[in-house]
Amino acid sequence: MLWTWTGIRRTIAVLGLLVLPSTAGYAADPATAPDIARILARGTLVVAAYKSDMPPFFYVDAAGKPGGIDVELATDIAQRLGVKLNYARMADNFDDLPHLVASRKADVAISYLSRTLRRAALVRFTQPYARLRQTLMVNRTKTAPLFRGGERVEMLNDASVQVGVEDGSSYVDFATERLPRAQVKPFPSNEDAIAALLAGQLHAVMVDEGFSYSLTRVQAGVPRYRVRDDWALYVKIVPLTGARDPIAMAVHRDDPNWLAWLDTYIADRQEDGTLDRLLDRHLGGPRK
Amino acid sequence: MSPLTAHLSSPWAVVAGLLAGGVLGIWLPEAGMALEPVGQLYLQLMQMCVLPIIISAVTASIARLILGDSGAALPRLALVFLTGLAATAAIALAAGLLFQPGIGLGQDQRVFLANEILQQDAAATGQPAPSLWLLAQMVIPANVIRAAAEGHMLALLLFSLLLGMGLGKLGGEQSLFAVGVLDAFYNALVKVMGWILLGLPFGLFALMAAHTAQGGIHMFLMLGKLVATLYGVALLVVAVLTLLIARRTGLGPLAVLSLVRQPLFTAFGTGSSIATLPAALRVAETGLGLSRQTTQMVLPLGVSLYPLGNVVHVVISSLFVLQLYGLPIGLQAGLVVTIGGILVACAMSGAPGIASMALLGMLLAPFGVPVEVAIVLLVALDPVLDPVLTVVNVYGNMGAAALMEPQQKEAHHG
Repeated sequence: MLWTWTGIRRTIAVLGLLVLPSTAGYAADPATAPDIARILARGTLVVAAYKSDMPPFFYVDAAGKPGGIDVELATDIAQRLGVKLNYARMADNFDDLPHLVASRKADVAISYLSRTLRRAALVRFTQPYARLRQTLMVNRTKTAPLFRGGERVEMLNDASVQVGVEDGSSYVDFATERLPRAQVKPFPSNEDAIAALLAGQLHAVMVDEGFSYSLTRVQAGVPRYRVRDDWALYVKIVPLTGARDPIAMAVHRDDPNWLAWLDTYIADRQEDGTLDRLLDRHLGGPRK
Repeated sequence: MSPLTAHLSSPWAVVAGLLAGGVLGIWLPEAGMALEPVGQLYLQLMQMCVLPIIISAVTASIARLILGDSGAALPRLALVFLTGLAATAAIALAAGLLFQPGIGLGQDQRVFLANEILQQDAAATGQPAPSLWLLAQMVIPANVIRAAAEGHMLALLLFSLLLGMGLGKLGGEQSLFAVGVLDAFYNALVKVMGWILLGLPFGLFALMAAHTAQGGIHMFLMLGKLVATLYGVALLVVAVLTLLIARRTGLGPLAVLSLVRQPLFTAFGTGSSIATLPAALRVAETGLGLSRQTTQMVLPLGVSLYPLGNVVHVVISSLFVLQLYGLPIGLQAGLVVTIGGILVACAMSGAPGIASMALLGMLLAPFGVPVEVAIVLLVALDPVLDPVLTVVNVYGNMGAAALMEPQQKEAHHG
C-alpha cells in the first residue's frame, strides 16, 4: 500500500541480533516453562506483522532500516530472551494476525494490533502497551454546516453521514459503536478512504492517532502514507475523547506462561518509563 | 519648542524611523528581533495612557453633548458609522467578486495554506467553542474593571457612553464639575502622550525592525492575489476618505494627506489604532481644524465601532474561503458576508482573541465554510496586513469626525 514495495521484502528478512552472554543461562535452566522453552530452543522469535509499512509502528526507512514502535519492542524482547528476531511481515490484513498466531505460524503478533472482543475469542492478548486515541478525519466543508463552529462529534451520528474505515481493521467495529446511525463504509486501506474523503464522497474517516500523526508530522526518512500534500486544506483532524484504541500483543491461547512473560515485560517497561519515552518519540510529545 | 523636540515631532522623523527600522530588520534580522522587546514596551507605554484617554474623552464628550442639548448628534453619529461600514463592506464585496482572489490557486499555494491551517489547528485545540453568548459577555461584562483589565474595548465604550449620558442627564453644578475633572484628566494625559510621542521615531524604528525581521515575504508571494486585492481596496478607501475630508474641511486633497501623514505613519508602524489615537486626536484638532467636542467623541468611539480596515479584511477573507472551496456565493451568502463582516470587524477591534474571529466562522458555517480556515486567514495574514489595515481604521475615524463636524452654516438647522 505504501511507496516502499521494495522495502517490504527486505523487512521480511531476519533481523540479526546479538545473543548476549548474560541471557545464555536463561535457556539452559531446565525449569523454564515449556511455551517459553520452545522459543529458546528454536533460537528465533517469530513475530507476526502486517505486510505493509504502517508508520509510526513499523516501516522501513529511507536507509533501508526497519524502524517503528513495534520493531523496537520486538527487537528488545528478542534481545532479552537471547534469541534472534524474525519480524515476519506476512499478514494480508489485520484480522489475519490472530489467525497466524492461533495456527502457530508465529510466537506473537506485535503489529499495531487493536485488542477487540472478536479477536480475543481466537487468541490471548497482553495488557495494552499503547492506548491510541481514536480520531476522526473530517471533510471540512461537508461537516462545517453540521459542526457550526463547535466540534460536537455526536452531530455526525446521523443516517445521512458516511464514515469510511479500513476494511478488516478494528475501526469497522469502533465506527459502528461510536456512530451507530451513520453509514460505515469499508475501504481497502486508510489511504483509499482518505482519497474518497478528499473527493467529497465521505463526511469522515475514522483512524487512530498514529495514522493521523504520521500525516501531520512528516519525519525525514520515514515512509509516508499516500495522501495528497494539501490534504489539511480540506480535511481536519478531530481527536475523539473517551474511547481509546488499546494496542496489545497477541499469543496462542495455550501459551499462558509466554503471555505472563510478555505482560511482565510491558509492566516493567511502563515502570521504568522506557515505554512512555518510546511512544512519545513516535507519537509526538507527552500524551497525557 | 526647542530645536530637538521640533525635529523629533516632525512627521519626517517618524518616516525616517519607520524606514530605518524596516531596512535594519531585513538587513540584520537578529538585530531586528533583539529590538522587539523595546518596541513592545514602547507600544505598551502608549496603550497604557490611551485607555484612560478613551474613557475620559467619551464620557466627557457625551455628557457635554447632552448638557448642551445636542443629543441629536448621537443618532447622527450612529448613522455615519453604519453608512461608512456598509459602504466599505460593499466596496470590499465588489472587489472580492471582481478579482476572485480565492480562485485558481496553485498546488504550492494550497500546500502552504494547508500547513498554516495545521499549525493553527494545533494551537487552537482546547479553546472554548465560540458562541454569540461569549461575545455578548464581552460587551456586557459583570465587572467593568475586569473588562478594562482584559482589554475588552466594547465593554469600556458601553460603560463610558452610559456614564456620559448619566452625567449629562444629571445636569447642574455636580455634572459640570465631573466633566471638568474628566477634562483635566484628559488634558493631562494628552500632555503626557505628547512627551511619549517624542520617542515615536525610536519606537517605530524598533517595532518596524522586529516586524520586517519576522519575514512575511513568503506570505506575500504565496497569497499574492489575496494580499493585492486587500491592499487595492485599502488604497481605494484611503483615496475616498482623502477626498471626503478635503471636501468637508475645505482643504486640498494633498494638503489633507500632508497633514495626516504622522498619524497614518504611526498607525502603519504600530499596527494599533489605540496607540495611534493621541496622534490622530492632535492632527484632527490642530491640523484639520475640527472641534475638540467632535474629535473627543468620534475618534475614541470609532477605534472600536468604526474599523473600516477590519471590514475590508473580514469581507475579502470570507469571500476568499468561499471561492477557495468552490462554494456558491448567492444573495444570502453575500448578505451574511457583508453584515456578519461588519459585526465581526467591530468585535475584532473591541474584543481581543480568537472568539470574535470564530464568530465569523459560525456565521459562515451553514454555507460550508470551515471555521478554522477562516480563522487561519485572519490570524496568519494579520502581520502582513495589519499595518495597512490600521491606517484605514485610523483614517476612517478621521473621516467620520470630519463628517460629524457641524458645518458653520447648517449648525443651527442640523
